[in-house]
Amino acid sequence: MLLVAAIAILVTMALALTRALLGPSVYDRVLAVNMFGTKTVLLITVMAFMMGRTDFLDLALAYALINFIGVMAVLWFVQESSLRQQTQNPARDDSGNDAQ
Amino acid sequence: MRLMRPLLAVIALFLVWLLWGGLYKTPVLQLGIASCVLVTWLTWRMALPDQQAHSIALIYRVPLYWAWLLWEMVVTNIQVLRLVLGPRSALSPTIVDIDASASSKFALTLLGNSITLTPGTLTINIDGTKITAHCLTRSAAQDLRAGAMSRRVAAVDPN
Amino acid sequence: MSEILDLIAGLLVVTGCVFVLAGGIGALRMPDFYTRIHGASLTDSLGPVLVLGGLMVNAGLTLISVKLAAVMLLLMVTSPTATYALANAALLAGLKPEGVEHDTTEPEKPA
Repeated sequence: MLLVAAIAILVTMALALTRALLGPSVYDRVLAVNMFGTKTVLLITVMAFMMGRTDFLDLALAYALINFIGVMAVLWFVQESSLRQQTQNPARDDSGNDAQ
Repeated sequence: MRLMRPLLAVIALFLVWLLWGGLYKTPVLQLGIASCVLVTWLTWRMALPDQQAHSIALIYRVPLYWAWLLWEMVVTNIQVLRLVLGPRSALSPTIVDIDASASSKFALTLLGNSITLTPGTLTINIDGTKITAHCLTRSAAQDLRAGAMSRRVAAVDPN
Repeated sequence: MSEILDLIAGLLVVTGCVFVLAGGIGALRMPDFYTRIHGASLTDSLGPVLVLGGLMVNAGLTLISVKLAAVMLLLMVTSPTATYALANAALLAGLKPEGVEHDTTEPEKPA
C-alpha cells in the first residue's frame, strides 16, 4: 500500500515538473514548483513509514516551512523584477509571459 | 498586562518544544527556553501581532468549523476530480464578488483560506470589504454566492 | 482488530493518492493559468488530509501521530496562503483569466 502511494506521489511530482518546464508564464512555473514542494513533504512522510524511521517526520515539517518561505520569496522577487523592468522600459507588456 | 500575550506565546512555544525534543537535560532545557524567547522577540519586532481580542469560544468553534469544512472538501474534491478527468467543455470559469464588509480580520482570513482550500473556488483578491473569487464552474460560483460558507464563518467569529 | 486498522489506513492512503495524482493531471491539462491552480489545489486539499490521516491511523495514539497532525495543520494553513499569494500576484501583474464571465448581480449579504 505504501509503495503504491510512494509511486503515485513520484508520478505526480514528474507531472508537476513537466508543467514547470512547459510554463508558459512565470506563475505557472511557481505553481508547479510549489506543488512539487508539497508533494515532497508527503513523499518524506510516506518514506518515513516505509523505512520505519519516523524521525524523518521532523524533516517533513522543516521542508514544509522552507517550501512556503521559498515560494513567497520567489513571488516577491518576480514582482520586484517586473516593477524594475517597467521603470526601465515602460513599453514592455507585463502579462507575465516570459517567452522571449 | 501588555506582556500577557508574549508570555503566553513563550509558554505555548515551550510546550511544543518539549513535545518535540525528547531530550530533557538542564542545559538543553535552558537553550529551549532561550530559543522560545528569541523567537517571540523576533516576531514582536517584525510586526506587532494582532491586537484584537479573541473570544475564548474560538477554541471549540474553530475545530467544529474545520469538521464542516472537511465534509465540504470531500464533496468539492469529487466534483473537481470529475471535471479534471472529463472534457474541457464542462468548464465554465466565473468570477464572483462576495460581500465581507462585516467581517473581522480573522474571519476574513478564515473565509479567504477556506475558499481557496475547497477546490473549484479560488480567492484572487481581498480588499477589506469584498472577496473576489475565481470559480471553475458556474454552479460552484452560485453555491459560493448563496453564502453557506460566509454564514458559517460569521458564526465562528461574530463581530 | 489490527488487520482492520491496517486495511483502513492503507485504503485512506491510496484514496488520497488518487486525488494527488488527479491533481497532477489537472495541473497539466487544464487550459489556462487560473484553471490550472484549481487542478493543483486538488493535491493540496483532500490528498494530504487522506494520506496523513491514513498514516495517523497506522501510527495509533503516539507522538508520531501528533507530529503528523502538525504537518497536516501546517500544510492546511500555508498552502492556501501560498496559492492566494500566487493568484493575486498573477492578477496584479495583469494576467487575465480566460473565457470568464463576471457575475455582477448583487451579492447576498451574509447573515
